[in-house]
Amino acid sequence: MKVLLSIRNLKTHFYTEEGVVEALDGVNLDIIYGETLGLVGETGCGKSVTALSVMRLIPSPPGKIIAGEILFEGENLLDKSPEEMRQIRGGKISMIFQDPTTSLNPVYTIGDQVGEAIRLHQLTTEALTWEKMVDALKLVRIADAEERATNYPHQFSGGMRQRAMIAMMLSCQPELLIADEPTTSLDVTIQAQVLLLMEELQRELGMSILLITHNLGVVAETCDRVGVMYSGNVIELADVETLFEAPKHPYTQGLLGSIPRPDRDLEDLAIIPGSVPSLINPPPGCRFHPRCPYAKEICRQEKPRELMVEKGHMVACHLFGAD
Amino acid sequence: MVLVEEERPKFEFKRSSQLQMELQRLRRHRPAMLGLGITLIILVIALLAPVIAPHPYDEQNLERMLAGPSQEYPLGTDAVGRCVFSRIVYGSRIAFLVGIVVVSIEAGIGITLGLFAGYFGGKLDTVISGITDTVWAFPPMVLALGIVTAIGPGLFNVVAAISVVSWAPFTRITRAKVQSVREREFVEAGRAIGESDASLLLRYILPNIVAPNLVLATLTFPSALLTASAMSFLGFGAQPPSPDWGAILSEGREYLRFAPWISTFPGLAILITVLGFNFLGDGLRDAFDPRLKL
Amino acid sequence: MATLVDVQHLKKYFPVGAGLFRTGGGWIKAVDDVTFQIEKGTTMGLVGESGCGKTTAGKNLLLLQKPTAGKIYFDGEDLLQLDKKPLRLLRKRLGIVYQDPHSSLNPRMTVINVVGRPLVIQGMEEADRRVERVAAMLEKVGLNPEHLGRYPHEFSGGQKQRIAIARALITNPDFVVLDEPTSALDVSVQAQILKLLQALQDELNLTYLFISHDISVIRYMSDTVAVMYVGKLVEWASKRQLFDNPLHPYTQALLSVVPIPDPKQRMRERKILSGDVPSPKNPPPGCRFHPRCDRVLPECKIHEPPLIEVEDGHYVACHL
Repeated sequence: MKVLLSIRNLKTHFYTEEGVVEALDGVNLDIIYGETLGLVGETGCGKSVTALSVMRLIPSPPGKIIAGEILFEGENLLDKSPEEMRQIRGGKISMIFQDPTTSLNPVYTIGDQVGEAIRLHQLTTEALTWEKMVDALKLVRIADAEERATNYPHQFSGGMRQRAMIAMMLSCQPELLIADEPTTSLDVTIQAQVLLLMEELQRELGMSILLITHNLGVVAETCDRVGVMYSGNVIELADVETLFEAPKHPYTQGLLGSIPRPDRDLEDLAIIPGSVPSLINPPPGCRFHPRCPYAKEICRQEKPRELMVEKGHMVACHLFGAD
Repeated sequence: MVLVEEERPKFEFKRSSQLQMELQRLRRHRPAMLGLGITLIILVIALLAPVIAPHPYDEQNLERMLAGPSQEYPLGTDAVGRCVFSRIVYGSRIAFLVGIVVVSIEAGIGITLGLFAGYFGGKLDTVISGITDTVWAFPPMVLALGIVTAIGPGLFNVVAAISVVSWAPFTRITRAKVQSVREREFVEAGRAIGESDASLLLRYILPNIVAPNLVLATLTFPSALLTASAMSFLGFGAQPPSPDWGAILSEGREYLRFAPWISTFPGLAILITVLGFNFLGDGLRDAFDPRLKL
Repeated sequence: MATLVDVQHLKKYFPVGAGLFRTGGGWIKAVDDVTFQIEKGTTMGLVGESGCGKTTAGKNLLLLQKPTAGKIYFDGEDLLQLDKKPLRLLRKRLGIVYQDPHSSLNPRMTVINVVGRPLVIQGMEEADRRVERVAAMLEKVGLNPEHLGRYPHEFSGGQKQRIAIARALITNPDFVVLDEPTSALDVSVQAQILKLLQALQDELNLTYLFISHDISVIRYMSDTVAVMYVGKLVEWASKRQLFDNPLHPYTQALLSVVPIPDPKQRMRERKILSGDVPSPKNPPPGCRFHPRCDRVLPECKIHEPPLIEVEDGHYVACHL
């Protein structure tokens, strides 16, 4: 299975008035051609920062990628010039964001914005751009595409805006789509539509998706493999069934046990005591140790390495790999 | 019964209220600190005027009229031999007093009206806004001059005239801020626990509209000073022998050619004071709302 | 079991184009004829998507807005008949917790004041006893009473929400409206707060109206569930009835598309609705759900279906 994107030991820090925010502390992640990889975690775990690092959209100052490599189709994105990155963004790697309202420019029509994306990355003429743009809108199942292309974002509903974003980002048929909380701000019934759409588009275009979300239900329904992040690291990575049925990291277990379910009544919810640590002065050793029911002495001192406990299942925890 | 373990507030290393954070930001703003310094120095001068000034401000020395700066008279003397330096030092009291009184009255009127207009809305708002806009449509200086011509000259009258015509910005800002604060959830939460309107205004809304008004007050001070000085310059304000800076400036007009110190130094005093307050006001504005960097 | 809250035909309309000169009539029918009851000591879950009116219903129930029509009975008393003073006194039996912990607490008030004000307003304790009572309540919700003098912004989201809960419960109320209390919190913090709310309910014999768009949370917390759609109540039943046997097509669709954190169920059948959630500004005529319904009948387009009891305690508003 060919690897499309390979992130190795990525470290991103933010230099702020209050101190150095160690947002990413050595992230390792691979995305295979054609797969949907989910990246889950709570606020501050670094999932969005990871995506922005890949796109090299980290605001700098105050942010800086201080270590690691991001290999896309074999080439290190961190070595690319700004011009080259601009070609890649929207072309080979696209990103959609959580809130389509603020990601779309309110003073340009939808058609203009989608067309702009096309114009930037493909050699086309005026007429051809229009055609491609309408095709893109049809691709995301926007009815009356030609007419709606002349609408402004505020005339679209939330779900349609998200589709327009998707149209914009997929118009150039990227290899990799990064979706950062794409359905979090949408209603449940609309979310179902958008997720279905993304699934169909993935099949049609044969692209990979990096789906970032805090919603474990969405992950269970759409992803092939899942990575769990905590405080700047990927602490567990496995295919979706394994992760949900037999999670190994105490945090993953706690997380899965603490969510209520729509399909059954639960006696109780698991509690992970305490709260997410500050990234400015993170706990030494394993960043999860202050909240871990199984914490040992070594957890306070040494950061656990990432180990493959079985084929395709990585865990970063001192409970494993004593051997 | 404690259910869950107590969690430590996240800012363990930075025990500060919102106010303290804002003060920290202010401290880092260089021009603001410069402004604060200037303002404080002038305040000290005003308070210690009798100690700092070498001569009483109205002491005439007819043997040394229109004398240039010297050891005895650091900034020279004016047409009747009064020490310019002493007059300026005592004048700082007037400047400060005028500024504070004018700003206080304007803010008092303006904020009160703004509170009512913004909070109650409806017809009251329409009426208050109408009055505010109408008054503000007139150039304040012209209005003030008009009033002073009617009631007669004098520092007190000038202060009253200026205050009565220039409260509009306070009303506008307060009204806008009240309207936005009013919609915030914690105000409704206050209503949910049974707070009366008066209590909501005093405890919930007022403390949250202080910031922009404080900035406005700091920036209004210099304009009040300038207007008052201008009125004194024209002869409407402080009457002789009062050491109002504008008045001194005016007195020095005739002698600009050969005794420029009489007009120059009070002018400089006004300039520095105005700059000081402006810098301070800028800093305050940035400290309270960094997003508003205009 | 006694009925504590009885809502009859509650309506809340907002005029479109409010102002001195009201041009172009029309109303936003945020809450349109909603009827339900809540038994003492139970939790009723109120669920629906954006624009359905659930939050507006909750606020109007507590008279934080003025209802356009309808009746609200609390422990037998008609709330709309009360004058200002008796209503204010009644507020000690009511509480509300808002969704966003970052904006529901006065940033210029210390914690002791935020939580203590209800006691002052209701004249419930002397000053020194007040501090004790607030401290005890803070402990009860899992906070350190030493932090009385701090300001809200010094706390995390979960802690702020605990402060909000303390404020709601300080006067020993009977009934609390919880408006999406955990929607702005992380998953793990949500679990803590939900369990806290349950424990407090048991200990203090509280009655909850739990408003949320999250079906899973509703399922976990509620005894009875009401589903709203564009201002109307479309189904109301016990939790068991609603989840085992949803009758309204909207409820069925809603329950079928909620993501389940179990990959084995991803191939299940889902009723994916086409179109968008209508806005309450211009709802479809007749049954508001008919444009998206897969079992539309001709009369659905003309007449609004009434709420009828289909089985014991299970109400549906649908022509089927």
